Amino acid sequence: MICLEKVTKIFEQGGEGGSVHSLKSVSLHIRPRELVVLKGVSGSGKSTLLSIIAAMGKPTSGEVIVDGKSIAKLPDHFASLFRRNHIGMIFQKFHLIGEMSTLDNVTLPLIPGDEDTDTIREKAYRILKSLGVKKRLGTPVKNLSGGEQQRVAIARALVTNPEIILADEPTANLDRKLTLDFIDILKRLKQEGKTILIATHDPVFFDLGIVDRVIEIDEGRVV
Amino acid sequence: MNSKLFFFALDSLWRRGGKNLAVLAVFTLIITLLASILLLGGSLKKELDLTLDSLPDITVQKLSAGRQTLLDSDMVYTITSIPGVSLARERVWGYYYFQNAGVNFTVMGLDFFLPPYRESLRKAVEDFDITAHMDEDFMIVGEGVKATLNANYYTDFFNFITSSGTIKKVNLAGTFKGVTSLETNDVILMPIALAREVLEIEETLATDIVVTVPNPVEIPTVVGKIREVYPGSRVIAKEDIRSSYQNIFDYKSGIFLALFITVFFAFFILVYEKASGLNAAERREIGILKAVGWRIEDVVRLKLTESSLLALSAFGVGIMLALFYVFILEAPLLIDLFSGYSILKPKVQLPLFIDPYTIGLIFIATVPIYIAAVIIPSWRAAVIDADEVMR
Amino acid sequence: MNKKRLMTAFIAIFLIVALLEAIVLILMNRTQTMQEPIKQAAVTLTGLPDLALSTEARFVRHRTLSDLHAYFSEEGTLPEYFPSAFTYAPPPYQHAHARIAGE
Repeated sequence: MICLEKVTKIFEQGGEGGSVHSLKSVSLHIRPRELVVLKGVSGSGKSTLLSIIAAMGKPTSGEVIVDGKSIAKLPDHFASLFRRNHIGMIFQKFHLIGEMSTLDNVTLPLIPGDEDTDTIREKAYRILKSLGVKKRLGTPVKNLSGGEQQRVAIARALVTNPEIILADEPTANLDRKLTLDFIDILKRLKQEGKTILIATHDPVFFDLGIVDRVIEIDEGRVV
Repeated sequence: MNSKLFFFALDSLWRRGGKNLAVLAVFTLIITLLASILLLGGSLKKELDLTLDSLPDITVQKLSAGRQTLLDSDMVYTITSIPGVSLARERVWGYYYFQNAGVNFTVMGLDFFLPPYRESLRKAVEDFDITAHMDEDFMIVGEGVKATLNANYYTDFFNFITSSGTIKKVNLAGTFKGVTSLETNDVILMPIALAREVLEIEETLATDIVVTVPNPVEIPTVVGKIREVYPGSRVIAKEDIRSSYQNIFDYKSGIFLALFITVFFAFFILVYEKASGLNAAERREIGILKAVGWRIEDVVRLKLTESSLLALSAFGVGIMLALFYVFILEAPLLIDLFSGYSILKPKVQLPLFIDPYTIGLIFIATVPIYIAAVIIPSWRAAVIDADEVMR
Repeated sequence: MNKKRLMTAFIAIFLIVALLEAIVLILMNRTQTMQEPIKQAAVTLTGLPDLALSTEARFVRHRTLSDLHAYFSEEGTLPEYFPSAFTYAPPPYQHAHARIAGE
């Protein structure tokens, strides 16, 4: 499903001189419906790897094939379209628009599309409901609790019904209880047949039953 | 047009409500000011154009040592003999300075019995019956003159003081109708003989000569001939007046230019602030949009919608306010700029004249520039790879 | 969704005000067009161009008929004072309202 062949990513630091080798010739394969954990400390390149898979950044060299499509050199127009339709991304800091309401945040990915307003609101509502967020749909998200915000972030990632879910340090800002809630949601997503990739250094994920594989990344290389 | 995008843009503007409201207010103010000035100028020019055809075809003045002086009445005969000229007559007019009030009146001598004037007198003057005044010295005055006289305790007559000190009492026989205020506010119309007395112009002299040339094509020829016969004369044709009207407000252009520059300066500060880049929150928002799968064109379309909404609202409201200010309120304060420090201010009823070119000019000078200033930095932010913006 | 309502309200108000303004202006225009012959009659009588807006100085009043040298008519050696005096009044002694001091 997801295939990386010798992917390298170098960030030029510009005036400060020097360049950062974030990923060094990484190759990995992820099969459909797998739940894979990317283990590594901060700065090991996990986030960069995820963003390349999401077509949010282009690798300096190497091949990236997702669901049969080569995305490494996609121009922005198609990369964004690909991301919209196939990838659901959950960020560590959620990256929601604070002043916007819950419902509006979740419908965000669907706005440039062809469906009408009522359809997308219906979709968003259904997903939020399935995640347990039924009330306060019109409230600005900045007024919600951390746990509620996380659910909204997850709902937004799911609203386009993507095959692939990418989560970048999803539990870093959560307490024990919310982490467990998150794992419950993961279980459901796995049952629905999604391919899930989680980048984290939270040890709770390493021995989880639902995890198919743990890939370790250290200093830009797969260990 | 994607209605979802439209309402999202609306929402987006609302979210940064305070800032956008300020921008809207400034933008509207700028357009209102600009439009008011241009509309007012255009309207006054229209007023001038309205009455252009009623003016004499040719006016002849005499220059002596570079200055305008009185001319010989005999010139009339010579001018009448020029082919193409149907009529030439002398005019006696000038300015009378009313010391107590500190105002200048324009005194014009008129032959009240000439048939062409009967009709005009009937139309333009309130309740004027010449037969009631045949045996006395009388005058017809503009509204401003009447008001000034009343303020100085003159009600139905006025004592003119000539330059040699004699006093001439003249009865008030009628007032010009109020609607002619812009043209007649300071004018005093009296029989020619009386005008000669008041202005102390001898029988053989006149202020200028007006010439009627029925065929407009012949006017330049006649002008040339007059100049040939009287080299020291200044000949003004109706066409000269028309082109003079085009730049009638040029001599006050210094002040207007200053106003324009201030207005444009304010506008360009606004534009510069927008164009110099987005703040952190705006960049983050664009990054989020890119991350959830918005293409560059979606982001640009969003910003285009946002800025168009703002700019077009400002434009619409601004023009409406300008129209209201100029034509319904009669442009207080601004009209004073055009009228200077005259003590005798006419009742100004501006003719409605909306020049589509003017409106178009204001639109082009403001709206696209603002929209571009918003789109360009947004586009720049959207082009960067999403993860770089989010970092 | 109350944003939608607000937006509709704003547009409705704007259109209504614009319509009202248009009606008022059209009526005004109609009245003014009827007054045109009166104005033209007045100018036929006076025979003079330029509006009575700027009556502050005689060389300004009938600008189209006056010439630059009118400004020097007081005295050739006087500096040109016209350009400085078109929006605010010149010093009071030029109007001679009050008696000149010392008289």
